[in-house]
Amino acid sequence: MSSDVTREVDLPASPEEVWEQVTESDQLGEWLEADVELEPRPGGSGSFRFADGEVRRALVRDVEPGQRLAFTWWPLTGEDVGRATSVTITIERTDAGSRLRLVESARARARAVASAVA
Amino acid sequence: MNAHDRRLGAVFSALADPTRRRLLGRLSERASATATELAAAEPVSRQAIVKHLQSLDEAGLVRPARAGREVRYALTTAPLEDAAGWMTTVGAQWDRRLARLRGKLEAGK
Repeated sequence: MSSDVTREVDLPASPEEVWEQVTESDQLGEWLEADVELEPRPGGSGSFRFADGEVRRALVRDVEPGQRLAFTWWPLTGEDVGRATSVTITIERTDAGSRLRLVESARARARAVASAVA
Repeated sequence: MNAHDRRLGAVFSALADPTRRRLLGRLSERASATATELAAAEPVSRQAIVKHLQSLDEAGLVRPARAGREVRYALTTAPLEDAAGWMTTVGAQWDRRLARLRGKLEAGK
């Protein structure tokens, strides 16, 4: 059994267009259904307010424009409060557009929390 | 990090090791077993098995019970269900979000 949630989706858009969807707060907020403020740079912060009331904070760990965004996030509300996980989104070019791969990992959680609060 | 978080972290690191996963498999086939019984089927020492059982105990995946001179280990399943529940919930969230992203990009074409 693995501790990661992994998803792959083929998208009818160029990696550049997908990158905008992933890193521009307004675009990201539309498909996450959340009010998003994200600074897509290493060390940048993020805030997500979801429609169901959940509020999350994020710390951006890694950015490779057009290819890779990695952040750690944790809820400030609800029963999972403070329970951080890491999210890594990678984008690659395909014949039909792009393939987006998303991994949310709980395994790196303890380390992620330690670096987030440091 | 809260207690729930620590426990889940312990579950995931316990499951990361192939020997520990095999031990859980063996314990799922019987009511309980001692470290000596479990070591008989593994290419590592009884002492190594005891250490693995301690990790599994810390993760709440097995429960030791003293029976006379020996300690018998039995499987507990609640932490596994907890971890599986997290994966199910988070997976379903991303399925919905990525479907919206795809719909958004298709609509923009």
